[in-house]
Amino acid sequence: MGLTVVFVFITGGRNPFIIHNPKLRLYLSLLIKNLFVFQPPIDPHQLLKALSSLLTQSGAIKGPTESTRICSLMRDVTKLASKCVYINILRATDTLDVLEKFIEVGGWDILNVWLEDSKNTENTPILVELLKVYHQLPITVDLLKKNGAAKTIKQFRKSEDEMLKTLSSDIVEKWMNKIRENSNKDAGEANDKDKMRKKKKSDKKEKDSEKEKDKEKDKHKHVSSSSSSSSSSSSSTQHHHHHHRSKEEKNESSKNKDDKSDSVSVDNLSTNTATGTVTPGNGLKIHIKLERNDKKPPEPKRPSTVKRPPVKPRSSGVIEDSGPMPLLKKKMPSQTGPENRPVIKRPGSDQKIKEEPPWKKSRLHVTTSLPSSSPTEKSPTIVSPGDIHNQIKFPFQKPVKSAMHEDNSFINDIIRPVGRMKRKPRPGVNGTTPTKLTTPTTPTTPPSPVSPTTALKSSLPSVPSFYKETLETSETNGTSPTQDRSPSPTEKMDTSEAKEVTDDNMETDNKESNVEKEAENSENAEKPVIDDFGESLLSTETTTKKKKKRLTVSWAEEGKLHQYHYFEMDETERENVNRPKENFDEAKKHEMMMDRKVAESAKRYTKDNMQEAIPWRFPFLISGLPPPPSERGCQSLEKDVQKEREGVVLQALFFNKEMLPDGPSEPDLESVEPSDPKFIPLEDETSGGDEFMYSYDNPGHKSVPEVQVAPFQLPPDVANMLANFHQQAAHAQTPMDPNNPVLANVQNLLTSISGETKDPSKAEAALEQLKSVLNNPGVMPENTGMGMPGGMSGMPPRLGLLGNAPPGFPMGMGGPPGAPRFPPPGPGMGGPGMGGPPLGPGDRDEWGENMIGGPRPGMRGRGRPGIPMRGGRMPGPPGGPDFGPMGPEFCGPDIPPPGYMGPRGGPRGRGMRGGRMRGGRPDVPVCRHYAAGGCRRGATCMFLHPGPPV
Amino acid sequence: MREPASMKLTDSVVQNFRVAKIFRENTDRITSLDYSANGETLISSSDDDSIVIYDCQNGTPKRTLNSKKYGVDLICYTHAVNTALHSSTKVDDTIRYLSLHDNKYIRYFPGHTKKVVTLNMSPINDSFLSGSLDKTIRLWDLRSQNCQGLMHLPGRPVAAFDPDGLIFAAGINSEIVKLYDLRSFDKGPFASFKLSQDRDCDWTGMKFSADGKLILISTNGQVLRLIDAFQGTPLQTFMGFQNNKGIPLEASFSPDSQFALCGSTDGRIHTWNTDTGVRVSVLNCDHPGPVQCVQFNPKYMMLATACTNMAFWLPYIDD
Repeated sequence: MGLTVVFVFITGGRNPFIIHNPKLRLYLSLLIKNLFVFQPPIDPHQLLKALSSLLTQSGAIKGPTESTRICSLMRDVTKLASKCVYINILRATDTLDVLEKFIEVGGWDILNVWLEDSKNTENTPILVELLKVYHQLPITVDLLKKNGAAKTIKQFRKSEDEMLKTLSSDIVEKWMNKIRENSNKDAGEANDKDKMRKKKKSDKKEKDSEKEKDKEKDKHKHVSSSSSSSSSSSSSTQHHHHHHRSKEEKNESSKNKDDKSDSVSVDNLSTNTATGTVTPGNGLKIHIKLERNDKKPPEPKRPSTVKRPPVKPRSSGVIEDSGPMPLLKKKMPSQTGPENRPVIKRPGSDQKIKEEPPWKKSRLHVTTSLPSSSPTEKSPTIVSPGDIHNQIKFPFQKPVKSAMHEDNSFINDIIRPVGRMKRKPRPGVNGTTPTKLTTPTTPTTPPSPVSPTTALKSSLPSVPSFYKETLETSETNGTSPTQDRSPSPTEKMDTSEAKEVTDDNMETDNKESNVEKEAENSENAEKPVIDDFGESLLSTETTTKKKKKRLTVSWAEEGKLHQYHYFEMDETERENVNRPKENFDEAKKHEMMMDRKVAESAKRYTKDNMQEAIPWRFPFLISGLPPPPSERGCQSLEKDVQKEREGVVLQALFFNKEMLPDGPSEPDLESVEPSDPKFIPLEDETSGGDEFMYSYDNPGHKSVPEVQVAPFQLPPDVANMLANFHQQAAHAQTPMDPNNPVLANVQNLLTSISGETKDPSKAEAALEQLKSVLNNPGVMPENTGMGMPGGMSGMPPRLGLLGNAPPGFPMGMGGPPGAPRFPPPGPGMGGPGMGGPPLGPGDRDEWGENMIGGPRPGMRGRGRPGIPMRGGRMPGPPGGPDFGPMGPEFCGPDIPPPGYMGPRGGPRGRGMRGGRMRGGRPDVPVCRHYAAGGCRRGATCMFLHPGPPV
Repeated sequence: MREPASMKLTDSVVQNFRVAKIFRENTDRITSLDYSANGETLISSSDDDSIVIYDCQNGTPKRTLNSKKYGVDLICYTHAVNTALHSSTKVDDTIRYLSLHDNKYIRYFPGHTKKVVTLNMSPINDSFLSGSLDKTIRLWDLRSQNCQGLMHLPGRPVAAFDPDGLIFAAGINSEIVKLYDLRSFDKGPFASFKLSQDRDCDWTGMKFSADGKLILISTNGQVLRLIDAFQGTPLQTFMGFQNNKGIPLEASFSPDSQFALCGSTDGRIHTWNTDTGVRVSVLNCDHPGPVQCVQFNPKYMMLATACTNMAFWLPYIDD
């Protein structure tokens, strides 16, 4: 590196720059040009002249004292031109002590500042020059830890500029070697160096990480894998124990995980300064962690070694993992891109964690147990191995905390170096803690040599190793390459080793010790847990394998593929679907309406022949109208209210139908207390109301009574009475009304009388009765007492024996208003007391004979006591066709004697049924035999025998 | 316009009525008519949700209003010049008090739960009666949306004020006419006339004659009943017109109470003499539909009949 030739500026006293390399010249010239153009001009010549006293003839710094001056001068430099001058000066300087002095005085930081500046300004030529300087500088681990220079340089490995890339790669390579050397050589010293190395490593990892990894992998795949495994120191230890590198590696990975978990717990417990997440940009944090690692490693290593047995199960678990590992390895090479790797690696780690529930459990146990179980062990672990743990922790924590891949890569980088650091520290630690250190180393060392060979030879180990790599890489993302490099020696030791093995043993020891530490930690925490781990590992092996298998993606054959169409529910679409249904009815209705309208209009137009027959003219007033009883609306208050309102409110005018609103506007809101309406009864409960019963029967029979009266010479008083009735009837405008019960009764009597002319005695009796009836309605002949309508006898309507008089039945017969209400005389008229005038339409002979003594058998009607009452109430017009029905009514097998009937029938007899029913009831069919000429049954016939009695 | 001459309504005049104006303002059946008290305007409602007001003197449509929202079925003037009551066919069966002046409702009278089939304004004050298929008759006052009186019936109601505005008659169950005194309607009817039940039809309308002596009951069958307003005595039964669709055809008196008129589903107008019961005339004007509304102008020698078209009739006078 240092040999890379300097295109030296040979600064002749007067020829400040002599640049042998044309490229450099070009860059410089360009730089200078730029400087001159954009910045206040600085004459490099003059600067060189001024500095000449400090420089040798070749342009190099004369000595350490001068270097301090130069350094102080550089501190204030901001101009690019002067930077270039100093850079060239530095490059011309190749004496180590001078450079070391320069670095010691602060040149390292200055260079770092410049590096950052130029990096930020993307000034590639300057960067190149700076890198060359870096390449030249004597590096120590401490230096690398000091600031971000290492990291920055590492990053340049990814830069697109070839120059930068190669330079930075070289530098990283160089530094890595240095670190390894340091670690190997200075195992005892090493804590600091380790730190340095770690820093370097981390830096390198950061800078070179993936590129280096790639390179390293390409160069030494095994190495890289081993390195990665080594980074997880546990692997090495496990290797030693199991003699199966692959297993060990797996174990390592698993251990790493465990370590991580442990580390996490440790972090929590110890609250390391470094616990804070490692920000990629912060070298400081890393350093801090490293320090912890230094402190911790010794102790943890020892326990780990002690606890190997439990580790085995882990290894087994890892071994299982190895299956997939090759794939991962393949991926790894393919994924040379540093960025890709970290991402992949992390998920891988995560997956591992996730995939292996037992692990997780175990981890959980461990973590919990660790703090409690092994404070002592932990404390040591915390001290030196703590770095490892921390580092390990970081990845674990980080994945949880931050999803940033870059961050993870950085962390991973850190972790890997830490892993190495662990390894390295272990030797150192061994010094500090002999027992533990020794134990780990011894076991670790033997396996490590074996492991590389076996790994190389046997596919299985190699596979696990690959897997380890992948695992590790997954765990430690992008940094793996760098780690690989750094670990590569160690891993070489472990796996192949042969090439670069000088310090590998040491490293492996360290790694192993680290691993052991971790293992110990976990073991210390809980041995059972470890056992569990082993079991879990075993169990997880299968699971992991399965999982890995699961990871494979395969496609079903075309033929086996089914095509499914999934339709998203579209609300609007659904509405559209449903609306038609809703609309359908409406549309249907609407259509019907339309059809109807059309039909009507068509009908109207076709049928509408209306024509105005005469012209319109102002209509005549109608004369002769009676003056209205009162002026319309004379008592209306509302009309005044409205009149007033209309005086205030504008009239709504619509000049055409288009202007017409669809409806009147809504009324103003009124606050009206709701009140219940008065109930309007249907009946006058005080019986104050009059009730009239009528039928629409055609008054065609009005002439009948007059006709009937003729044959018999009525006594004058009776004749007067009749006349009176007629008058009254006429007055009531219902002269023809057949319903007039008085008339009916009278007419009945008359007919009976006239019919009984042959039997004067009977006639006399009848007349007597008639008289009494007409003159003294209240006093009924004893015989007829029961037969007389209650109303007639002045009995209260409800008491009326026959009396079915409607409530409020007027007493007076004579009053016109009373006439219509006159209840039909009861059957009493035809009762025994009547003296036998025939009531029914039946033949008179029979009537005449039978009526006297009692109802003739035929009159029994329905045989119920109440029936006679009904009959009595029936107002059939005498002699009229309607008279007939009475006969049937009376027909009955067992009519009790009238004396009885009254009282018994009375209570039931009320009601209007009779009156209504019988008055002209049309539904009794006419007797066919009677119509044909004679009915044998005569009065007993159930059917109507119409026609005036003969 | 010349000063209106006056003439006496006689049989011959009735027989000589002719259509003088035909209005085709409506696209649907005209359901109800009412003259203003002075006979100068006629308001009509139609199933096409429009209210048309006619000028009876000039024989012209005067105004049209819509009631698309609530529909309009029965309509009658109130005593104010420009206000009317109408029942609804839509939304609900509320009765609505409408100011024709500014086309705005003044008040609603909610209460009925089914179609209102009778609506009658008191001739003297602000009361009005309404009867509904919900088997109630309600008495209202224009000034309050609260119902003043409520009567539950066994069947379809009809109701009318007498010309004096002192009494109202309620037809119950198509067989009983009950008379109530407006001052004490809550005490029950002071008289009730029970008539034989019409088996084939329901009473659909009841009107007092202008002199208050007669009650004309119209039905949805082919029969009219004329009864005595005081005694309830059935006086005449008018038949002979056609109503084969069960439509509630309106029957009405002439202003002098001398004639009763009724439309027919065959488009003819039948006139009877209320005194004799004799059919005086059958007027034919080729109404394309059932003549559901027939009313004589209370002041003028003018007759309005309506199916979907509105026809104004004048007596033909041979000068």
